[in-house]
Amino acid sequence: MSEVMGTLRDLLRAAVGHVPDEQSDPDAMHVDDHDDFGPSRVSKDSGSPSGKEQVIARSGALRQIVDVCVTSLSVFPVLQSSSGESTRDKQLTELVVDAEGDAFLLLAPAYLNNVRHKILNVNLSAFESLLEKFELLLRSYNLSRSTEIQILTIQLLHSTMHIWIQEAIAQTEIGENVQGLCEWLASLLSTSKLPSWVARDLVVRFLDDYFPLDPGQKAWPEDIEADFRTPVIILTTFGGDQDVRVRFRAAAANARLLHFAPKLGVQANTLYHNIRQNLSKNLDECVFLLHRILYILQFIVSGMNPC
Amino acid sequence: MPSKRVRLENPVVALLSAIRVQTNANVRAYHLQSLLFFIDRHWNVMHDDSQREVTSAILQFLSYDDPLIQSWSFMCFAAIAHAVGVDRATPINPSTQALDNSIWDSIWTHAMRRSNVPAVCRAACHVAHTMLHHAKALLSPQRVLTEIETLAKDLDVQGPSFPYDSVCGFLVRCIRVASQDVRLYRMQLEEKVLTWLMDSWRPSAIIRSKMPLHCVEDVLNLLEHICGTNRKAQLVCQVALPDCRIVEALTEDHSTAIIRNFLLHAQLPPFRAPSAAGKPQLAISSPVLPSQANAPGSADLALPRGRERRISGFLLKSLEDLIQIWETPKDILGPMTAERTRSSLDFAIIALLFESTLVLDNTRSNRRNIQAACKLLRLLAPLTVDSRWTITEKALIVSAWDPLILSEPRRNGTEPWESLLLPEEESGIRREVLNKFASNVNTSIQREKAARIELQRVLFYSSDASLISSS
Repeated sequence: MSEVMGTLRDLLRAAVGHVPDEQSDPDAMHVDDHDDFGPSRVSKDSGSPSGKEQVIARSGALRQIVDVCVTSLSVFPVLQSSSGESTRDKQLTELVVDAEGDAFLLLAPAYLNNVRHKILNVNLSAFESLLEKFELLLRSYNLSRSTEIQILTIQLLHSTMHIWIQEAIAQTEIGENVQGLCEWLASLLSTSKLPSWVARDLVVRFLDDYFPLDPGQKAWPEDIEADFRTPVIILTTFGGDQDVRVRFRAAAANARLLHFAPKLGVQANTLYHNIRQNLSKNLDECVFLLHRILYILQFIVSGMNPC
Repeated sequence: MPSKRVRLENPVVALLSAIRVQTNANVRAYHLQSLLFFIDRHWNVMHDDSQREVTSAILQFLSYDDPLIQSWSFMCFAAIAHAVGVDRATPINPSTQALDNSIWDSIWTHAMRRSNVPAVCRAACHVAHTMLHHAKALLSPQRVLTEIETLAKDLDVQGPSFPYDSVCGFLVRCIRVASQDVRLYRMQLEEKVLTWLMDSWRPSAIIRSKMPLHCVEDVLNLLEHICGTNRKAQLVCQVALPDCRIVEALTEDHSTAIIRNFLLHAQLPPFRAPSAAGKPQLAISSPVLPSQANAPGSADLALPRGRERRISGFLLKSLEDLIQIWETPKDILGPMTAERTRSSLDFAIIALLFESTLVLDNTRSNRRNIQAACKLLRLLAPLTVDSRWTITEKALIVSAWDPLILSEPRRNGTEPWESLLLPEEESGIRREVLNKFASNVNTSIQREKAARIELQRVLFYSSDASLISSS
């Protein structure tokens, strides 16, 4: 029965090996030679129907294959072990770290998801390799603006939170690298360079999960420069976000934040004021107004009494 | 000059007459499907008169000779039954009864009579299942018992043609009903269901090009009810949605419905504790480990009783048949399809899960079954990587592992939005009421997950040690 895990690994490798072959697609946009991340495409097989449908069709099935394989490789050892501790899988981590281009985009989300659920264990050296890989990706001008890479980076921070929040790690070089990523994220937000609502939504969820784990915000870079903001401030600004979906998510997150005020070391009053400031006062903008109502409801329901 | 206003035609009426007028069965069925979607979403918003009109029209369609029309009519009734049942279950403002209760009894009887007609049994059992689910609101108890008794009498000789998903669900409900009635209990419905199952389900005679119309969870659930086991973990078996823009759009639509309802209709969903799904948790390393006492073959486990042995025997025979099929050279095998591979994988997993369920129920499992199932898995596993499959086919085959790895359903689309937070003490709500809010939904989700993980653990624990090697 040893074949099962081995087969899953083979299938996973084959699946990511299937990915991009830019030259074969005559409709391909001109792709910068240094850029592995052409428009996300999957290579065509012979005898398959025309271009676009096939591409779309494959990517969903491919993602499913990757998801099942990665999850199985992560979950099987846990179920089998009597201690139930999370799986250490060097081969899988190497596969992810070594992947390039679309293969990486395919593998990373499934991998990070299992890390987040603490099914997969990432040791420090693996974490370091991952961080290095992301830093490399972000240095390229093209990639640092790629929505997918931005989303993946936020996912990285979110999924590995339980590692870098630890005080011992925060002091090391790894901790510094993570802080670098946090600063990058904060600066993108303050300069409105995160155009994708999905990415901003993810930031809200990330911060929402971050505060209970690190109320003192010790792992976050200190507010050195004037235009950097603390995570608390960042979360409050989402009340005024352009996208209704992000605002809706932020409503619940901000209400929870208010609840945490004493633990965060901020005055509930001040926090409430900050949150309110970000909500639109424009009576013409009906949608924004409805959001004020939602916020008020949240506060009533959670019994906040900042006055 | 005032322009003439165009008279608006009632689309529902138009749909109904289209069904009546058409002679082509497929077109009629198509219109019935449209009607079904409409009923599914908007039944409770319709006027009483409309409801009555639709109901009597569908009753007419039920009497048409065409099995396709009959099936879709049954489906429509199932949707109506569900809408009415849910509506009557809400304590606040149930709508007035537009429909006479006697109609339900007659549809129930009709469905039960049709439950053994091959072309219609899947739909008939679906509507019967739905009505049983809402029996309190819809049916008279005496009718329910009478019809189940009639079904039970002849089940082992003449029953539904195949253990379809709805058939399995329906029989599970019947068994539950029978267990609470003295007369039915004496009829030993479980035995009859088992005999019927072994007769109608031929796992080794697998259809080549289509997946069987049931999933692992359906069959497993039925087997468990036949044996009367205590534990009921519902495993996750998801059918992959087709890959296309429309599906993506609808999925996102579904995720964002909560936002739209608030902004456009000033509605918030009924209050429930925020789901813990999606929040990372340590459930996978749950404290519920199979203790030594539960090790299969341990002397503390009870011996399997009659039904368990019959099922194990049946599973073993089919496993051996399948092993023989997959062992022989490919030219005798005939065209190997992804569906065949996947359905054989499913069967091996059903067998393993069944034996694990026995262990969880403190019964000794059958060692030979476990070994045969593992052998079948060993034979099939390498085929998943075969280069002949397309990506979609590979995805189909590899998803066979879902019931064993998923502790909660896979989410399509974005993580759900929370509407309102859980109220706290400072909100002024009384403590007893607060506690009620907090307890129910969250813990039942947690319990479901824990039950799944427990079953999955036992499966890995009981299977041959070489099932999964740490390669």
